[in-house]
Amino acid sequence: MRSLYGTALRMTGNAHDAEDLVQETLLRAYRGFARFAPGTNIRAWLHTILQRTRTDAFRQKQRTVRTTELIDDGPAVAVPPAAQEALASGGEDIERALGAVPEPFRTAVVLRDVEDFTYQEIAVMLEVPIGTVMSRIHRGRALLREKLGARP
Amino acid sequence: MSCPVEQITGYVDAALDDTARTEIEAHLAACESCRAQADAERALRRRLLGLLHPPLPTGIEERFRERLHRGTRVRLRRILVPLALAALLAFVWVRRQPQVVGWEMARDHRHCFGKRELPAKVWSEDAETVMRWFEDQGTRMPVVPEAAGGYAIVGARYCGFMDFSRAAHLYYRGEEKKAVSLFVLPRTLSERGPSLMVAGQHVVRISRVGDVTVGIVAEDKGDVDAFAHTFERSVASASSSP
Repeated sequence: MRSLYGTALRMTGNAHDAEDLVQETLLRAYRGFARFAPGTNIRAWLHTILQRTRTDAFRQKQRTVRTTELIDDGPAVAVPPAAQEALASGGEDIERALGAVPEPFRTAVVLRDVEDFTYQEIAVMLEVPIGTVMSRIHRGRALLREKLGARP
Repeated sequence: MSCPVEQITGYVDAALDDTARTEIEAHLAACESCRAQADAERALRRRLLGLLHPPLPTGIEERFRERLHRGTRVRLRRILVPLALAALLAFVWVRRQPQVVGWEMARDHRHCFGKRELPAKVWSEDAETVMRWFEDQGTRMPVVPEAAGGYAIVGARYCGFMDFSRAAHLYYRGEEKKAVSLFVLPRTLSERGPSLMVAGQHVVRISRVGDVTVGIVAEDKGDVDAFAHTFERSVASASSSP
């Protein structure tokens, strides 16, 4: 649950949305537990549901956005300072830099480097080919290095 | 020559197949900048792996449990409400079916006459007394024959049906302990005309008199017909002379 919440927080950038996402993920996991194949990685399974939940929520948001003609402020937005405080305990500037990396690169880096999932697992979670996972991680790390280097 | 920068990332993460890995290793041996990229990515990765999970918000588990129960309740309601409605409709439909009601009358007839002593609440060979007893209980009876088709009234009581309604059950005795039951049900059924049916070893005749349903149960059709004949004649004469 801590791993889920950590990922959700790094993805959404605020505690409220992160909790909503985790709650919805756990609810879906609970209902769909019968579909979980024993012997496989339960952590990866939960993270897959987290990503799907995120996609669904984002699609829903896009629909409402389209009808109200607002500017999309989806996952491309950086993590706001308040949530960075929660993440960066002890003044860790790497959390700030990570928060400044835009999506979809941030999630790819979080899943690979913070949560330590394999490319194969991430490809399943994000429903993209392995090549896309690799390019997103590459771009995410490059951006992150840039942000870190740019800071004093 | 342009550097395979994305492949370097894949190499750092040990995500390449053998051929690609060999190629990248060869490239790394020759390319200073790609070696720097690989080292920087490894260092970055070490730092990121060292990040701690943020603390969970207080009460998140309680809120989840609450939500889970709410969800279960809602889903349960979504299943149970239509089910209850369907059951109610089926129930309303079933209790208007002459076959079902006839079967219940036959069952009650068997039940009451099967006992060593009839479970009557009023014992009388006088139809007036029986009618008055029912009226005291709040049931307006149509004509109650004292005797019909060779049978004479001996007593009566209320019998409960499966749909929680109750019917007046009047006992008639004939020769050799033969028995006839007359049921008066304070409601109408889906069929208007008289219907005759066989329920187990008994014959049931159901007909409508005014706004009540009358059932006659006996062991054979002859007895039912004879009883019904007299009964219906007395009903007809009662309604023609107010």
